[in-house]
Amino acid sequence: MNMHKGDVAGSASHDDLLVWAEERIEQYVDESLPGEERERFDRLLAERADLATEVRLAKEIQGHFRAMNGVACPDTVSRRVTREVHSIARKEKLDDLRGIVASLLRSRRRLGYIASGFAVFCVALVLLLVMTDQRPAPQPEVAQALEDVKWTLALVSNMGSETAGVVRSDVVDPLLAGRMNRSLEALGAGSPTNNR
Amino acid sequence: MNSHDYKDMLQKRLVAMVMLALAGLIAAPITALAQPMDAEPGYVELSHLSESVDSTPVKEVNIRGAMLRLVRAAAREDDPELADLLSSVRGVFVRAYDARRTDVELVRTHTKTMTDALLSEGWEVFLRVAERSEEVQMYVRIVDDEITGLMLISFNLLDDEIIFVNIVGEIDPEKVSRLGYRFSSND
Repeated sequence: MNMHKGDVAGSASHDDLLVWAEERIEQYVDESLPGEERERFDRLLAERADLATEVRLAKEIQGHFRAMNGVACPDTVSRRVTREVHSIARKEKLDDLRGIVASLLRSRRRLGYIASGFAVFCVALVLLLVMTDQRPAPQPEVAQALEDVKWTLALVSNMGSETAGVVRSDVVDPLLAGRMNRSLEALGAGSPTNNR
Repeated sequence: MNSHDYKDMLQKRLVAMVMLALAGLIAAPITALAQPMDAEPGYVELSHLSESVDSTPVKEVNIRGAMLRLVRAAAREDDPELADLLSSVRGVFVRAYDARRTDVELVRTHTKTMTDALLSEGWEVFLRVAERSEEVQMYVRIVDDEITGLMLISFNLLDDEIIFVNIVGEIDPEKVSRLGYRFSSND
């Protein structure tokens, strides 16, 4: 409930004020209410005898709890309580989510957003499937392309082997010899003679 | 913040997240598929070569993108080693001309311009042979110690062939040599 500044008993009804105050009794007794709310609560307390009774009762209960000796909570109880708390928290989150979804579905504008988003998703999915379609083109074209690739590799290999005597070592070295050296070093590092 | 405001905030965040996820889903594949070949460091533009040398190629090969994927898939069935090589290849381009029907000097002039441009862009000469009737030049583009492109230019006047080959992608010269030898042996 939103409270307005100024007179507590202003525009809000008395029942609303009482509900507002009852929600804050524990915080008031624990002295953890923010400044403005505490002042409003004090003013209301001065006007409402029923509220004053509840506050006095809450203070008595708090006093009794503080006066009790500490009691060790059995493990089984604390585990059960923890499980219950988690279960309640999960249910509340699920209820929140259900509320959000229901609210989204109730709102026409948001439903429009969802419908648009879904349509965009479908279009994107279709585009993705079409563009990455692996169904083969007419077989002869693919077969010809494969033969062209093989022909090209054979050509490059032939050119390389026929002219191997003039390959520049400063270019080949890091690419081929360098790799061989690294492989040999790796083999040498793992050999028994080197591990003594 | 009360529970009503909290739920409202959650709703807005949920809608925003869904829209962002959809935007990403659309952008990612389109971006990946739209990457141009000329952005590849190992690519050499050969599409204007025929016009520049005023000759019609006797053999033209342009394999990239979807066709390359199909070739890769076809190779996977009976030649896994070839498929493995092709897995890192982005494109294969060939222009072959009949020297008898081509102005060879014009082609040489254009080739000089092309190779000067390659060298200025960081390509390295892999081999260069010039004999009386045969000239072979091979260039490689190396990025981070890996070959990302290969350019072969061959003038074989004995066989009346002028050939330009560009292979784009991460090329293992050992695999190319091994496979190429196998394919040439099978001819």
